[in-house]
Amino acid sequence: MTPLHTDWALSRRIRAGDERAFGELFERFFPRLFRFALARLDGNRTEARDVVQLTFCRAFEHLGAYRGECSLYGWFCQICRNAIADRGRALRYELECLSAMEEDATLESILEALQAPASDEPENLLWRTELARLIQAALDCLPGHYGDVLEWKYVEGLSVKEIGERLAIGTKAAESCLTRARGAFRVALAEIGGSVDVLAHATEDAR
Amino acid sequence: MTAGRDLLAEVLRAAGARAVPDRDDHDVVFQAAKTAWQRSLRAQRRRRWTLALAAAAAAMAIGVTSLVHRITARAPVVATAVVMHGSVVTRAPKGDTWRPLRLGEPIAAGSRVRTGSVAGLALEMAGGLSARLDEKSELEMDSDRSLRLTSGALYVDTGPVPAAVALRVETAHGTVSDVGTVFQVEVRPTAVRVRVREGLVQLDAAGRAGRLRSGAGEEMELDDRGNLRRGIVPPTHSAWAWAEALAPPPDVEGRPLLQFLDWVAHETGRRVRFEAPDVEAQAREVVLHGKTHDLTPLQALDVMLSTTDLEYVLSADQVILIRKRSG
Repeated sequence: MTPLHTDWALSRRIRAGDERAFGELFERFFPRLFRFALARLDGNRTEARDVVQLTFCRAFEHLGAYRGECSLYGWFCQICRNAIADRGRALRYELECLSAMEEDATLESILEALQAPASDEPENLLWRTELARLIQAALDCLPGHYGDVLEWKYVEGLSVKEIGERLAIGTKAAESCLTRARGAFRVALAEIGGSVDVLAHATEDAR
Repeated sequence: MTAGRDLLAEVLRAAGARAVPDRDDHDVVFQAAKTAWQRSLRAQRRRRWTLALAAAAAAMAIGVTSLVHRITARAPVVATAVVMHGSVVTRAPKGDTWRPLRLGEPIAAGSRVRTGSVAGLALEMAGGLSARLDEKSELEMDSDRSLRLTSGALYVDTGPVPAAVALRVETAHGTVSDVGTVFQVEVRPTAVRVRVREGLVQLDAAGRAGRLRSGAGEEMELDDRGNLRRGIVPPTHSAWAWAEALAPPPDVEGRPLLQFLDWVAHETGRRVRFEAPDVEAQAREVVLHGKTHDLTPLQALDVMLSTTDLEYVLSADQVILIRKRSG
């Protein structure tokens, strides 16, 4: 099953009244959409919550319009973007930064950003912050729990066994999941023309 | 990895943990989302039930048909209910009891319709024009061109071509007639207010005020003492929102996006502009599928554009700008 088939099937289950499917989608999308909105609303958490609430309400009311031709997360992101625009907030972020990557992982501009010289200039510090956010957004783009698995392992420092316990799967399956997650993350980075090596040097310089 | 380093891990560590929403925010949004989802499930079931009823009625060709026939036998049909929200009741000509109006039900000349709180009704008149009744409103239909608004507000879209016979809306304070237009009449206990979105409207006042005219973007309010107040009401003003919410969905299946955009623009009082000629060309070529039931025009636009690489932006000058999605 491709990710699009999985998304389509999930939307059908929700439309059929499957409460577990509803919960699964909500728990998966809520934090990601919250971050998506937060980045576009100058970090205003209250506004981000309101926008995400409106996004979910609109999306669930009109889920029948989703036909599996794009990722379900991308579909939610489009609704979220329009909800932000409806509030009269100019999508400045959309114009200045690299938003589309959060929907389909086409991180075109990141390479250009990585090639900028490192210094202590405020704009470079800002760039570092943005770079970190882009990497986090790339995690949000990965299918299933891949983003979580990578964060648990490399940021929180969980062992493979502990990851397996969080996902309610065996250690072998968790290891396999971690390998696939690493591959998916590398693909996401490769799509922007950057490499993990370049990115690593850039972040190393920033430290 | 290079030289024994796990660079991918280093990148992720340097980026740090992602922001996590508060538990309170999670709970609030979860509850709202669940309510919206359950509401959509109920609406879905209602639609299925309606379809089942329609199929049963068609198969038997009795029951509902004979009931409708009894209602309409004495008088011609002047309108059909095409969109209904909340409680809407009707009273037959010369009847004295109110009963619930059904979606798709033909309405005979001389009938009355009444909407409850948080309710609304869109009618397709026999002559083709669109009439919409706001909540807490009552309308009597003498014919498809002669209506009597006894309370509440009525929105009328007569279409681009003026009819041979003007539509007349009678109120206690005067008679409003169109000259090829989109307008709204609101009856208050001591006054009538007319708002014009497109075209020109004429108000023949019941009292001494005589004949008054109002053009697009204007409103006039006439009280029972003959005092006239004029004002400005832009076509995108929130006063039109209730009528937008009752807009009958267009048949989009197999139609070009451009046609759908025209409908959205008309229903929202805006103009469509394209960021570039190739965007307009794309809008001509994209063919739509699916349905937009139960959506306001802008919500329907959201949904339709979400399956393309186009997006829209609302500008302050009443323009819907269609452009390529950024990124």
